[in-house]
Amino acid sequence: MNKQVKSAGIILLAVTQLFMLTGCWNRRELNTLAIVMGIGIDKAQAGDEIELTTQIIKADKLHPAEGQAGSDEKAYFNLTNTGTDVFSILRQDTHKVSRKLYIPYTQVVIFGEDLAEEGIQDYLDIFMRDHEARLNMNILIAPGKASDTLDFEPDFGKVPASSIAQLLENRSATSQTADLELVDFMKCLTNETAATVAPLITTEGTGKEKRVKVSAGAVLKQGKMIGKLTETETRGLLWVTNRIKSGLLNVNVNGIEATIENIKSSTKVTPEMKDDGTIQMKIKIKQSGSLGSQKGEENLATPEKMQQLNQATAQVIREEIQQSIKKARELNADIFKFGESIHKKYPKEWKALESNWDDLFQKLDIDLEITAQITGVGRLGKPTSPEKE
Amino acid sequence: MVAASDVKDDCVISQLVQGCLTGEVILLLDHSDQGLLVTCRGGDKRNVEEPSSESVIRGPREGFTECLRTNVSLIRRKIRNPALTFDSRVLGKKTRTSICVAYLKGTTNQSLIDNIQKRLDKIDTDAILESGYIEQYIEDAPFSIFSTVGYTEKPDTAAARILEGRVAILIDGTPFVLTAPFLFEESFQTTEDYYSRPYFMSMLRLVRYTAFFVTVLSPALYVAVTTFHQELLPTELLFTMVAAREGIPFPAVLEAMVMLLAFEILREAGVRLPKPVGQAMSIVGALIMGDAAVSAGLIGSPMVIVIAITAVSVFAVPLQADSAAILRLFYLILAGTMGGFGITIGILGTLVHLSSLKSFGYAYLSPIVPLQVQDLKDSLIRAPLWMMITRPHNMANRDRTRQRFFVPPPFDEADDSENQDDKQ
Repeated sequence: MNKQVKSAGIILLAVTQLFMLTGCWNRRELNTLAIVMGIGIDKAQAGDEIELTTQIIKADKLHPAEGQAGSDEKAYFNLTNTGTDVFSILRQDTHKVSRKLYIPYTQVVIFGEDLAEEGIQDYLDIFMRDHEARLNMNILIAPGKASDTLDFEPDFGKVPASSIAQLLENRSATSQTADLELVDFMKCLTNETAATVAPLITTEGTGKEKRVKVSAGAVLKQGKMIGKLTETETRGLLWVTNRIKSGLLNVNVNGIEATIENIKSSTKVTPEMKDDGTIQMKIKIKQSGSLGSQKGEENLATPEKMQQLNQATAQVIREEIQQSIKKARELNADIFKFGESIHKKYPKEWKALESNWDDLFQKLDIDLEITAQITGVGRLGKPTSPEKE
Repeated sequence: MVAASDVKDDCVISQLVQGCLTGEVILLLDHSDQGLLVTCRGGDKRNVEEPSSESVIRGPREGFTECLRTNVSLIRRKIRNPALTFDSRVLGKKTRTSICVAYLKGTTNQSLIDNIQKRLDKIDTDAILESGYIEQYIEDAPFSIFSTVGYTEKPDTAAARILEGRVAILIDGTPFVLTAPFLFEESFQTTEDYYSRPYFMSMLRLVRYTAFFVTVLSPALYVAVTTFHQELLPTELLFTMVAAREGIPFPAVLEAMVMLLAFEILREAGVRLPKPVGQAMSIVGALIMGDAAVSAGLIGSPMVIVIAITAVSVFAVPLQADSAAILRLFYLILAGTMGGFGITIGILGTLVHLSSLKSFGYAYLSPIVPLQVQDLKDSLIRAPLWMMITRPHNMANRDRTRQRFFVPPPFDEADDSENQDDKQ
């Protein structure tokens, strides 16, 4: 018994000393981190250099102590540096920042338009590779300079990058904004025929009045920006790819303008190969909404009028989608992922069709079947107006 | 002529001496070679009052006292059955303390009784001053931080455990009665669980389990997440924590250990202080010191909250307080050196240890490991009384049935007439 205890004791002592030798490797205290919330990448003046702007938060200004009055000081600072690639610029930043940059909390990566036209995937490689970077970072394109969009006073909260991320989350209210997460971008890059749409971020006003607007989209093919979509065209894209949440549709029924609020919508896209080898895309949309508001005094809550409303809504949706398809064909970008769905359903035939896809995309027969349904009219049936005798 | 009830007349000198020392009267007669030992016990002793260590909201408020006879009578009053057996013996060469081993003959496993008798036989020491001495001599795992012998100060708890097939050991001179075997789940059970209705009591039981995990893991998890795995924090929480940690000179591990030490000192001091001063000191100490430390910039405020929750939670499971304190420190050191990986290793080691721990031949983690589905009715939740038909599985395998019916009340008249014979 004594011998066992003794040998057990020696082993335990040795193991404990091993712990001391390692000295808590990988330990990082919270107050040694410079937390990066947003990154903006622009084309620099000189040659093929880029300008990287990182937005780092100042932790002690985030929650000012009770002693100090609500100060005007910003809780973040933007650091701009030039270089040839993102990784080296991030490291060069440590010459100017007293702490090591910590990127897991980066929520947005904004590219300037001129850089986007040259291609963005080279600059995103580090984020795809690094363990710390999260794959659900949002990618946005700015028509002007990206560093401009990161420097404004947010309405709620203290950090502009968070505010931009929340603006993106708000897109479900109108469903007119595209969204591009890093993981979706990666998926699109692996596909030669597909294109994606990233949201556009524009600035308005100057100084204290400055604010940003996130809406619509920019089309990226193979990582290069080739064109922009308007809000309506973006919504058309979202209709087809089944990403519509809420949103308002303005319809006109016999001269009466009404606004329908979209409640639920589901889309099914199926490619059908005809006997002669041509492909028809069948897009089936089932939508239900409610009458949000109307102009005039006519009662739209009657069955015939509802029927007309349904048809008008379907027509509006159809037009939006057609606008979107037209623009996509103009830019020759398969933002609807038709190629992918054909590949999934007809893998053998796809091999032959793939090389000719650009041509095929223009001539693709698209069949839209839209069922719109109004499921409610709110509290009022007939709009409030004097009773007609 | 004097009348006395209990008189022994064939005595040896050593018996006379021992009897005198235990409070009996020796009657020696001139010209007689015999001495009489007369029992007429009196003496001052504490009243039966509510025990200070275990107070209840609902249930009897009697507590054991220091006199063995009183304690025996308190248990007898709960179980008025001839099967309740008390085996007495005397232990301790110098103190000669009387011990009683109580069990239900016919229900308790004979092997358990023999085991305990054997271990008690082996005790060969000078002094038995308190039940703790006996506990430390008969326990199964002297090197483990978990205690394998339970104790209680209330007769209804002791009676309930005896009825389940366990053995109680009463020691003269202390109100704390030992019960053997003692399983892990017992530290989360209180007698009140059975006196009130099952629904809220089941919830409370789950709360106790949660409190144990909170008290053992909170400081370790906090340190691990803020030092090694910052990416696990939601963004808003991260901001709060970073803001709180700005300007704090010490690493998080050190902060946690200092706060734990401060808490233990305060608690210990609070126990030893005289009553009027004690209350004020502990409140003042905890609140003001914590607050002042935060204002001085020595400790971050999230750490104060974490330690406060840890400190308070441990009192929900008083029977595991000692082991929880050591476990907590162990996990904290592991977390500070190896982060989440360290905690995982720590928990794994603890689980392995607990699974192999046995209390008088019964697995410490039963009925979860090894799984006895029948007995789960009383571990994590408390099933209604009419569902608990059998005693714990391996405790009393000669007399398993507690009650015969499985229907919830109210009962029909037909059932009533069936159950007249009282089968124990």
